[in-house]
Amino acid sequence: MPTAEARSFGRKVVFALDPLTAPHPPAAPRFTRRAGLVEVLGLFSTSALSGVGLLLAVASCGPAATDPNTDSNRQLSSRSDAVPLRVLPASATAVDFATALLPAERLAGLPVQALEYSVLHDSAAQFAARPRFDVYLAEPVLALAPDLVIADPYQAPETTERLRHAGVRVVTLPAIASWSDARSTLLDLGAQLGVSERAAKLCAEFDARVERLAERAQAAPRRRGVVYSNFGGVGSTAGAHTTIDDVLRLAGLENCIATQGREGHIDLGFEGLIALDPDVIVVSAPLRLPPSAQGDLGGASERVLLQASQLASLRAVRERRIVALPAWLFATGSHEIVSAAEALREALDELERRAPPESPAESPAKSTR
Amino acid sequence: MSSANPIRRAWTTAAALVAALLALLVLSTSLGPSDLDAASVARGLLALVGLGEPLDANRQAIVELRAWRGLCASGVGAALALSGATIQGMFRNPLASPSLIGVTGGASVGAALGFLVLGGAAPALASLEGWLGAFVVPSFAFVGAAATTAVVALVAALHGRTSVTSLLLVGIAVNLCVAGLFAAIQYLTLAEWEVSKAILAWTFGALDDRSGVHAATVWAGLALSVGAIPFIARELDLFRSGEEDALALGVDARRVKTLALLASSLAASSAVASAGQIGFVGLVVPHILRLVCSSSYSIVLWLSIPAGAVFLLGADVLQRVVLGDGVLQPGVMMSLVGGPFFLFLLLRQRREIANW
Amino acid sequence: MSRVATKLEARELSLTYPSGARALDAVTLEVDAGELVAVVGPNGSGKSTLLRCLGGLLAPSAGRVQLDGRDVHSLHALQRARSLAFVPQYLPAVPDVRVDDFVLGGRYAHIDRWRGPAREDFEHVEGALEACDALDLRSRSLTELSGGQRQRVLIARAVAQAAPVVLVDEPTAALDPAHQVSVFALLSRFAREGRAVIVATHELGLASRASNRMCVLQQGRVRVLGTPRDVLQPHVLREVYGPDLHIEARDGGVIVAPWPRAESAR
Repeated sequence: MPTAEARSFGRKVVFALDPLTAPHPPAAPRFTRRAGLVEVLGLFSTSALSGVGLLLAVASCGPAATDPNTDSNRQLSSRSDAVPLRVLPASATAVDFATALLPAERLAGLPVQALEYSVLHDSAAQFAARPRFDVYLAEPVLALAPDLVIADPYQAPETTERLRHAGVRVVTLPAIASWSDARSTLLDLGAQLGVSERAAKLCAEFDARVERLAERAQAAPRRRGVVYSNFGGVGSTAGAHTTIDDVLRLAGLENCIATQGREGHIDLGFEGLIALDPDVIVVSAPLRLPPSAQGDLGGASERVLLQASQLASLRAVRERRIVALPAWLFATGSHEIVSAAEALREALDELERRAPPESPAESPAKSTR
Repeated sequence: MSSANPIRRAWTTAAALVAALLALLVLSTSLGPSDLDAASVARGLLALVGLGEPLDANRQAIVELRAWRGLCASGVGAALALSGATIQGMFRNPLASPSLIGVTGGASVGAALGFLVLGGAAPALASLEGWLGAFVVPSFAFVGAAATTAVVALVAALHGRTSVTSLLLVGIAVNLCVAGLFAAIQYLTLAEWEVSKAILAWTFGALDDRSGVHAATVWAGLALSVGAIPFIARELDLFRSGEEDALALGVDARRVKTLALLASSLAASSAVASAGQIGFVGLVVPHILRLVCSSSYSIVLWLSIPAGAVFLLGADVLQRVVLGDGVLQPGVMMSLVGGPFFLFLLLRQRREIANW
Repeated sequence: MSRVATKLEARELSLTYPSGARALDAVTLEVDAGELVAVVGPNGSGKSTLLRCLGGLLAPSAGRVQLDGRDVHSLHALQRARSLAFVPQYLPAVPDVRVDDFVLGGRYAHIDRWRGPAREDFEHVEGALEACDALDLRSRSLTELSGGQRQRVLIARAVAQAAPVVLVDEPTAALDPAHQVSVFALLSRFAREGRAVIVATHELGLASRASNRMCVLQQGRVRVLGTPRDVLQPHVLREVYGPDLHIEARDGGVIVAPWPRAESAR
């Protein structure tokens, strides 16, 4: 189910960085702790009831990087004369884009459930006054009287259809699997929202950050990394054509799985992980950090790595070379991919300062698949 | 006298099954995503039991992972088959099975509550909280399984004889209740993302990434259940002509039913605690044994242990050879295979169905 | 088999169902070793219920059943089965087992759990099958047998049980006349060999020749208890069973046959 996780929860954005070291605010009371739950519920309702449901859910999630469907192309490329004044982002990714491009007063409402996975996950002072809605359903959305809605491709098509029927413009985002996907989406959205200059300026800023990242990565030793998630059952990892893969690439960390030519979100058992024996393992920190979290962020995946006796021989475990990205960055699907990469680079540099990894003593069992 | 033949056939079958089990264990240990030659595997296994030098840390870890997987698959298969055979004897009904009447579901609800208590330990982490963690989930699963079995036994036997109809109807009802409870637990734990992921993963059954604790859990539960066999096998044979008839022959019916309930719940719940929900092994294996060997529980109960082990481990090996690693979870696979098999059984008994 | 003098006695036995219906009402009955007692009475008069109470399979609401002075219902199932064999009218489920394995089930209370059946047990099975003229059925499946064959096997199992008291519930219900005669001959033999036998039956004639005493139940009460000649009085029978009977004393017994009066037959 890793794919479902990444697709449903991903997307967010930030301007200020260093989320790894930034102190986390005492639980922001403005945002309900249930944010994201409806999506989780949707996930369960499709998959928990039957094995077939699971298979379907996995199949429908697939690798994140696929062609945007034609519908969303049409949406994004169409131009309307009227500049939308009341914009409603319906997903975490859409929140990232919309809050980056528009002033708060142009937002008709914000999706409560998605905020924890968005750039607004811990501070949204300037957006605090904007109205909220719980679920992406026609009625609560229409109640906020938007003239343009930005939705993810995975969100309920029935709702999108209802909204269009009611005369609301709905822009469906393309599937985003890389910084360049996000970049072109940002520019397209800027044009649609009548803020092309703002979009171009943002792109330039992010381009510069990407460039600085590349320089830092160039200066640092090349390390082999693996993304790992385990919430029970079989663990999973990400190969090529995933947003987290692009995060690793931007940060200058080799993704061993992508190197092997594997794509998308795939299962990775203990044996496969041991066979790879990477220098660094990248995991997601828990969505809500315990108030005292310092260093060891205590996410399920990290606990598996540190406490499963079967994995004690991994170099990354022995040397504590595990990077826990905050959940919203781990799963981001917007231009905040760059922020995630910066956070990762920062953590990698910190690890290098501490001590370089031992070189593999002898070649571990070679992978055959 | 008469029984000489079936008994000889039972011994032959048992020997064949044990040989197949050993061969499958060897085969299972040689399968995996990484290249390990037979000599390394052998050396790693010897080191695991304290003989000789271990391999380098990573390769030793890989050999041990494969060993635990094989031991878990075989132990879970054996426990589920024994549980199924016991339940069929107890209900005097060959269509009963732990998953059908809701015992595995009950165990899963118990396990889910156990996860809640532990705050979301992934199954890979049964060793997480040390012995406490290893103990909490299996014992919760056991209580869930025993409670479900007791409810089914009480309700289905309300009017004396347990008919196919009442058993299946009660099974449906119990499974619905259990599914509702399970969904409620999932819903209430949605805020605890890690707990709910752990519970969800549980429902599909998993043999990957097992540890020694998982293997120990299922084999210990199995060993305790096996202890009940001498006290219920001949008794369950006598049960076949009715509970009162057995009573008249001197069978302490209440004790036998209690023991059978405890043994089947313990076996099923230790399997669930070790590998999540895996259905249909308990239905299919006793059936095959009856066809091949004998319908006597004195034989079926004992043989269900090696037969169940061979069945699930064989299915696991076959799946990994044919489909590759991690394509289908065993619980899903068993449902895909077992569902049609159950339909087939129903059709074979359609005369009985016609009388419903 | 055990030839210990044995006595089974029921004192003031009553059984009331939760619905309030009274199945047995203060029944007092005893049977000694070497004696055959026939319990007769119309359908629903409580014969089967009485036998199940006597056998310890059903707990009475009042009164008690004693076997040589010990309460049957407080005996452990194993002890009870060694003293009391119960032959049901029919099996609620007929398992697909070989006849000799089925009869071996009668030895359950004698077989050591850990050592399994001993040679003695197999000898008992063989002897029982022989006594019931069922030796040729030994390797057949119980499910293949005719009603009469199955009845003989059921009785053989009780013989193998080697209990001094045998309770038999309507053993001839499914049998043709010849088999009915042979079953009653078998039961008489049990009694002559020293067992205490109680049989519930509708075969009044056969029972009158085979039994030492007869007990007529009517609506859960003992209507009359005594020797067959005392019991099978025409006025008693007509009161209990109604008027459509042919009653004729013969060869020390009484022939009682369903025989509609002229007006009932039309």
